[in-house]
Amino acid sequence: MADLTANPTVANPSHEGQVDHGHDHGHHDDHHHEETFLTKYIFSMDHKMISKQFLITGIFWAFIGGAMSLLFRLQLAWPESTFPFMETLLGRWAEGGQLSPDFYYALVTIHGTVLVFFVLTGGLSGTFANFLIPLQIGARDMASPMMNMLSYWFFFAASFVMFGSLFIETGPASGGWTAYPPLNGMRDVAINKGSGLGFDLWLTSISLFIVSSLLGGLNYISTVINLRTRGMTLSRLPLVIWALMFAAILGVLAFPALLSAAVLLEFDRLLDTSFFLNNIVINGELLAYKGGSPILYQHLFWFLGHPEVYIIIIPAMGIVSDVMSVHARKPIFGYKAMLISMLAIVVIGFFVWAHHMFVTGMSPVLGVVFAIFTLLIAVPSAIKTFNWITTLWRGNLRLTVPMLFCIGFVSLFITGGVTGIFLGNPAVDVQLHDTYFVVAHFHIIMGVAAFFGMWAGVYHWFPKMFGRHMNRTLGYIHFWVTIVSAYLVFFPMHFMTGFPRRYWSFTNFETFNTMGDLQAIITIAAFVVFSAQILFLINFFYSIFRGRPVTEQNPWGATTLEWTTPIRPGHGNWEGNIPTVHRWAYDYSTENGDVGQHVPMKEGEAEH
Amino acid sequence: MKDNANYQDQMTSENFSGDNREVAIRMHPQKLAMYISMLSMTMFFVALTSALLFKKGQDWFSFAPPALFYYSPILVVLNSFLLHRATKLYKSAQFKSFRNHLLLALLSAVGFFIVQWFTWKGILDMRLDRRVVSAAFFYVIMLMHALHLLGGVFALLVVWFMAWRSRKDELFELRNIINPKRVLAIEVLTLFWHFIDGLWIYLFLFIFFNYT
Repeated sequence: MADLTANPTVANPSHEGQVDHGHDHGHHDDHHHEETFLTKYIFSMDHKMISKQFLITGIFWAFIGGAMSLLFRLQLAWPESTFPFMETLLGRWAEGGQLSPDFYYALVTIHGTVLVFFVLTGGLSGTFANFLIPLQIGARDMASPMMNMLSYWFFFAASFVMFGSLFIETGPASGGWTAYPPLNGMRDVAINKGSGLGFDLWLTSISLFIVSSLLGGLNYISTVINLRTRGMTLSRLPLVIWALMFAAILGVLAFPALLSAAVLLEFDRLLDTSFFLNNIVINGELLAYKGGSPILYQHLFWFLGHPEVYIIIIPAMGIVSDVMSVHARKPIFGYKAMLISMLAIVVIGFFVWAHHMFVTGMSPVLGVVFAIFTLLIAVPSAIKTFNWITTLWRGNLRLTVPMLFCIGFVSLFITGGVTGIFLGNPAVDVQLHDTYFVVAHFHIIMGVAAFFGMWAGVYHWFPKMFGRHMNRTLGYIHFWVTIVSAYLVFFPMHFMTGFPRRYWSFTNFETFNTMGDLQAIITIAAFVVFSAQILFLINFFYSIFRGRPVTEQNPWGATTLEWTTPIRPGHGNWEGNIPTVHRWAYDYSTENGDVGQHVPMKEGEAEH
Repeated sequence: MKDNANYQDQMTSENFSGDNREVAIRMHPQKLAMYISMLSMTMFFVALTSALLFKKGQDWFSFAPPALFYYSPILVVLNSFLLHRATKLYKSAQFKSFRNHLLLALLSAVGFFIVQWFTWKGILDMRLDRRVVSAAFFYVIMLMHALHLLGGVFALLVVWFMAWRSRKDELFELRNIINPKRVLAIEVLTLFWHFIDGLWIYLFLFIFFNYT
């Protein structure tokens, strides 16, 4: 902790860069309170520990979800072949070493669900909102540390239920991550095995996850609004904090719609109501459900489903903006434009949900309205892309591992974004709906790009999280193997425009039986991507315990407040007073050097 | 855990000690969190009622709720009034009156539950098929509101029990007056009740205009 004194504005309580809260001695004493293993690592109320819990749970799910994709990619690449290890691993779900269609759909469903919700929402927002908000705004913890802890434990409970559903007799949910009725609206396992208990557990898990997200979101917003240190005006907030707050606002407003859909769907399933079911005929028999509308479910689902895309990508945008600025040694280009663009994406994001439903028979006029709003989102997205590129332009680039992931993010965001313009047009979307083109689009823009944002954040803030560095060489290998093979996985899918997604096998269709080689190449690339993630995993856990110790308080030369805390900050973050903020987070310059947010303005310096 | 809780208290008091913070909205963050959660709950019921309107636009079976249903708004208005008074009484150190108002508010909430229960039973007696979407929506909306109410009743019980337990210790209560944490708990509780009471007025009017 002695390194804290190296920072004059933190060491001297009488310095003008201090906030005197009148409780400092108490705080100092309090840092030494006894903590047990349970209170420190399990039921912790320290935002930093909670963020690590979110991160490690997210990593766990990323590997489960990723491994699932390898299994179904094997099936897609070599549908006629058998893989004995699959039978060993999955038992009767892969008799004779071939994945059963039922379990194929279960794998696809759980892969989508856990990647979207548990990894890229819980793992991304949960990790970085918890870690960065108090540290970067100058607060000792979240507004309600108890609620924060509950947020994680609801996430854990959701994970536990979802994981448990993988082991039940009828298998996990298998009706797609969107859980559309009527397939998922009835508990009849004769129609679809995953529609039984597996889907009830899926709904329970997602409902628990929604509670977790809401508890977290409330905390993030109220902390950012009310717990900023003196001088940290809204216009001085780092972009990542804005991004995390916008994502929380989206979640708080959109997740309830999904919860309402889940409630109504469970009523249909358990109490035989007909909110989403109507005139169902099975084996020639007309079931008694009447008057419901499956389209209604789609409206409720996508009212969350589309903002969910932004809940995932906006935090990644924020991370990239800030990490890029640090490693380009240059102020972020167009701070206000970045901010307004994010706000525009948040607002417009609420009016585009039905672009997922162009083929449901909606009125073409309505379709055009949703198309216009969808295409409008391209404007703020393009502004952000332009600003990232101009931040790089003539910067003093340090091609560190986090910086490479930022640049990779921009590349992926452009590639995935361009195809969004295709899909936002109803006339084109009708042709491309539910094809591999869509799979390519959303995997690149909200899957791989969001992962790149997450990795940029993990590599950049790892020294602050664990007081050690990750191995650089492994990091570079992780980046290059991932970006090349991820493109190899998803780019060719753009050319499979006529291929329907969610098919277990194409061998029975002459029309689709033409791209077997491409499917094999994609699968091999997927295995390569996954192996790079194993390297990341080894690097991550090895570095936590054996990585090179951090010896400087501010190893990246960043300007934000988290680097004014001790190398391994305790609960409460700052040993002495919380620093006062005097400037924005992007004072990097060749003339004046890099100036932290806590450094007072010089005479004659322009206020910002 | 105890250490953590003490630490949290200390941090909370530090966070609100005077002008040391850049505060966009001058309000305790937990109160702000309640306002934000109200937005979230509003979105939940907006989603449910929008779903009803969507369905009504396709086909709809109208029926009149039982007569008892029309008394429910009286009870929620009474509840909100009592809690509003209770907060004021606590702040002016009239503890006995405060406790009595809390108890009456609790009774009005229980009365509301009873009215809702008999309304529900009345609809069941109409023997509408559960697959009639309008009836199903009626059940779900009432049930979801009742679940929120249940949370409020639990919190109200806790606050009333704490007030009742300290009834003979005037000094304790006087200390509480200046304890912002206790005032905050009562204010947040009252806020939540105003919300679920107001929510019921919205749902009542919504049902009234869409069912009758």
